[in-house]
Amino acid sequence: MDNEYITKNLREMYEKIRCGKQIIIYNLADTELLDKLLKLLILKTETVEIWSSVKSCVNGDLLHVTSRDGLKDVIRMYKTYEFTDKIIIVSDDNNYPCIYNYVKQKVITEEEMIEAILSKIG
Amino acid sequence: MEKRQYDEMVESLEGLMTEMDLSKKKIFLFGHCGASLELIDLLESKGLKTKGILDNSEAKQNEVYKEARVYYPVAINDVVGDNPKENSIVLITSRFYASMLSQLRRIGYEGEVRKLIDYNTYADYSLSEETINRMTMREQAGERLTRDLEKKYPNHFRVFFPFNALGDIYFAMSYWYAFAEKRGIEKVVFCAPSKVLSDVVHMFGDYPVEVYEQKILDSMIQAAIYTEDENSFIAHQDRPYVVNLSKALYIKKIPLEQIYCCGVYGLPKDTIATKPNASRLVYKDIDNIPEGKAVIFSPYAKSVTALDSKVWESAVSYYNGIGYKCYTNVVGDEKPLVGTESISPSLLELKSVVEKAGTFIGIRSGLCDVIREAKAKKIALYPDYNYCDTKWKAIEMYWINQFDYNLLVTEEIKWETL
Repeated sequence: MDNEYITKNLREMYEKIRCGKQIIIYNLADTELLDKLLKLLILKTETVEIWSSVKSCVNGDLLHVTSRDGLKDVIRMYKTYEFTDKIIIVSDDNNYPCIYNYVKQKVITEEEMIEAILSKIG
Repeated sequence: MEKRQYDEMVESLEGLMTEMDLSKKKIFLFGHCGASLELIDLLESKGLKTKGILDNSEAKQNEVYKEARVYYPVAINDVVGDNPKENSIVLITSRFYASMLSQLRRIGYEGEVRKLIDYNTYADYSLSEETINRMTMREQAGERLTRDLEKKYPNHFRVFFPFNALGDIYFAMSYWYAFAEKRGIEKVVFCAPSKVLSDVVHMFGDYPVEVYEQKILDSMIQAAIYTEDENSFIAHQDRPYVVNLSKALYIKKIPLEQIYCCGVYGLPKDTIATKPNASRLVYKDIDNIPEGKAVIFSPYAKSVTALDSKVWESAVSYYNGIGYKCYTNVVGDEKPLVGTESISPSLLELKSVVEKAGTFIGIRSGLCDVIREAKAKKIALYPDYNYCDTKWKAIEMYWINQFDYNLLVTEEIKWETL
């Protein structure tokens, strides 16, 4: 995996995936939602890590805080193609459907959304 | 499953059968879903029995289809017994082949594992320079095609239908008007992978539709994702990989129509769906259909497990017995049911045919959505299977309120009572 396209962040993420981790890339500014996600994740599993450019008040080893550019690198590669099925991106891109639409329309709650995202993890 | 994928599955299986004698192996499938059930049928047609279906879902355990029982994957070594390399094989039709293979190896399964369908043009689980270059070029090709589309349709919002599924497009169009109003979209061009889907679009209005070969469409969709193009939208509930709507189904039952209304388009629950309103065509031989005294049967669906032929035989026998003229809606080389005549109206003509006949009986498929507003007695028949890898039955997900009957086919149907 030694090529010019592989940035430090991408290399680090891919190595973690090769060692059995799954990664949630949290690409929203809402820190409250991030806190909820982390609290639920801590109860559920140790094999998942959240990558984010925002910090959380929840302590834990499951959050990997990186720079916005670092996060963008990984997201950019993921949007070129699906290079792994071990990543979930939580974002508010509006040119495709997203699970957060269900929360906005009160079909599911925030907690149910988090449970759904984590349901196939671990 | 889509015909293209089904054909690929057939070809892959036949190739495998020239490599090894599958009759000497215990055959397992991984993932209990419609595609797996279709594979069991295909194996059966070749004289092969499926021993089991591996699935991680608790809800699916011990379900049985044609003597193939659902097991947790971890049970495979016990079920196979000695010499798994010689005595067994796992066949995978799911797009999660890589994860499934990885799980099997982690639990110590040493037998052969083969993928029969290469679903996912968006995925390549490698970060090699060659892969990155190839995928980057694909994305760039998609951008060029999008620019060409923009030149042809300046100031048009672009909507992509990534997958060839009638019912999904019907729902996508039903809620399109409300979404367009919300976003202030005036002009739109729809991009689809087949001409048949453009007929569904035209049921709702005279919109421009561009039809692309699947791989080309996939590259344009990839470009839309990569560039975060604000003038485009991917209108599907579980394609491609960035759409995570389907995960909600692991914790809550959300019918397909609501998936499109609230999940795909982000519209309120009480949004009223637009009904097809464009003038449709009248079938050319409509005068030959006895008014109110005929039945249109629709027994075939590419994405649904077939029903036992006895279901159709009993229906045809009943309706012939009471003096109804019976037709089978057929496409391509599909054969009419015994005791019926073929009829092949286009999608836009089908409503006229159903209304003239007076009765429609079909396996639940996208075609049922196309005629859901037809003024006739309409009966949808559901095979007993789960929606994808969820715990919800297909009938719960696809129930049609506008149909007179939605029947789960688990026992003989008393047609005289309907």
